[in-house]
Amino acid sequence: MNQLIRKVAVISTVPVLAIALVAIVSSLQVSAVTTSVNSSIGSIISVFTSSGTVAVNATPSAVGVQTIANDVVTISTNNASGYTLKLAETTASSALVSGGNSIVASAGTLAAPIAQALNTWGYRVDSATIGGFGATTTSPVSNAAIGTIKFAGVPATASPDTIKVTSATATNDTTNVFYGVAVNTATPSGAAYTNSITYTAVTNP
Amino acid sequence: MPHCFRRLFPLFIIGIAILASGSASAHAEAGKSQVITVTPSSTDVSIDPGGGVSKSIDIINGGESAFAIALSTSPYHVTGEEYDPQFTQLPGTVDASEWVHLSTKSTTVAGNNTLTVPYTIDVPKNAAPGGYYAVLFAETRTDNTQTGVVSHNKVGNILYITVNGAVKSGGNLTGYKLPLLHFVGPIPIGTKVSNSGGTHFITNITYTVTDFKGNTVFKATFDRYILPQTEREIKSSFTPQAAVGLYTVHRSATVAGVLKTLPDQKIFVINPALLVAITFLLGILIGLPLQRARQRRRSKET
Repeated sequence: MNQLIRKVAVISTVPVLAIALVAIVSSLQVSAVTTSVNSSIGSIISVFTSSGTVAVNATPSAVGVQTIANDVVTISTNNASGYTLKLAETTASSALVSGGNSIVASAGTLAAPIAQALNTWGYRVDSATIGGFGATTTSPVSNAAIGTIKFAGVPATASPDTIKVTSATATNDTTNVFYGVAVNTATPSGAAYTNSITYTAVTNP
Repeated sequence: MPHCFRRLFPLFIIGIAILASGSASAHAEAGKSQVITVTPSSTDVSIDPGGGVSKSIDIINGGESAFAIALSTSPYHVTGEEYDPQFTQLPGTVDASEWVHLSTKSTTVAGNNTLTVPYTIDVPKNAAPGGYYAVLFAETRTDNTQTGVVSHNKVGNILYITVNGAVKSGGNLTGYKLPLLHFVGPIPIGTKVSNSGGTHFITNITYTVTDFKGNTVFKATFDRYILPQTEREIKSSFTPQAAVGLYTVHRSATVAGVLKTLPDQKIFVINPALLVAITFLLGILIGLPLQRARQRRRSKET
């Protein structure tokens, strides 16, 4: 009789344990379903210039020489509609100034750049779509004959030139900005001809 | 041997000194680089007239050397369908950059460091409901000892400010006229979205191209801000891969929250080389029997 009771007790515990096991497993499954992962990615934009100063040194001759040096502006942004890069003077002065001497800015503009005139300085970007520069590949030169490559004067602070527009995210996207100086012996010597320019980068709306 | 060491020792010291100075100057060159990052790069806020919000901007110095920065605000608007940004005030508009109050206007950020700058946007009580725009700039400052062309880097956080209240909203979607027949290269399938309302909205644009079986062969989606009283061109292009095909272009966009769809347009694409080959084959197929018939006629006549 006792054995019978024991058998019945053992047999009856099996479904109870099975139900408990199913309940535990199903509760685990429920908790797994409700797990979610959220992530917020912040928007950024960065500008990097290689050195912070571009040396456009020249040793003039009577007929004139041209020196072209470049600055590399690197932009990164995770904005899906890209970025716009602008260039302008930092201060009111548009000339390269050394004490009381100066090299005036090129009379060319972004829309209508011109070959460098004697005793002027300017900038250009190689682009078929930005302004009137054209896609001619510019190479840095030192004290070379004055060429036909077109330059523009750096614009005033209040009206910067747009030198690059993109429409997608960018990782270390580079823009070469060339600065050219054309001088003859009418430009007095000086080791400190200086001008400050500002690169402005904003994300597109 | 010890003599040899004694003679070489000064040279060894000089060599070490040269290497050390070389590495120091290389380090100094690397330290001159200016890597300035701001986050966020845009901020969208809604504020009641007379209310304000507190926000912050992180300025990250990714270079090794510390640099001085100047913080400033400017008005913001865009010109043209290309949305060229301008940092000046449109005549007759309110300068919302004056509503932004920075906790500091100049500071220094240590190398490989992040600086958080808190600021508030305080909307005047009499501000009309609608969209207002400004930019918060962070600009690197260089020392005055540098010569040549000295560059400063400036990055902006665009502020999209909505002053709460009843604002008119609306706009339109228009598309490029697409060619019925296309031979080679990409096909521009862009649209223009206009905003005739008083505040900005984000348009969600979808361009889909299907083949004659209805299979999607191209799909592009864009989310873009459309500022009030402007029209923006959103460019895209589809380059057919098959030498010949009949495609349908579907274009739609949400305009001020309303889905607008342009009529579907069909484009027949054929590769010029294939067109020449088909013309040549047709010429042979039609020309040969004609030539034979002519020859038979001549032989009968003779």
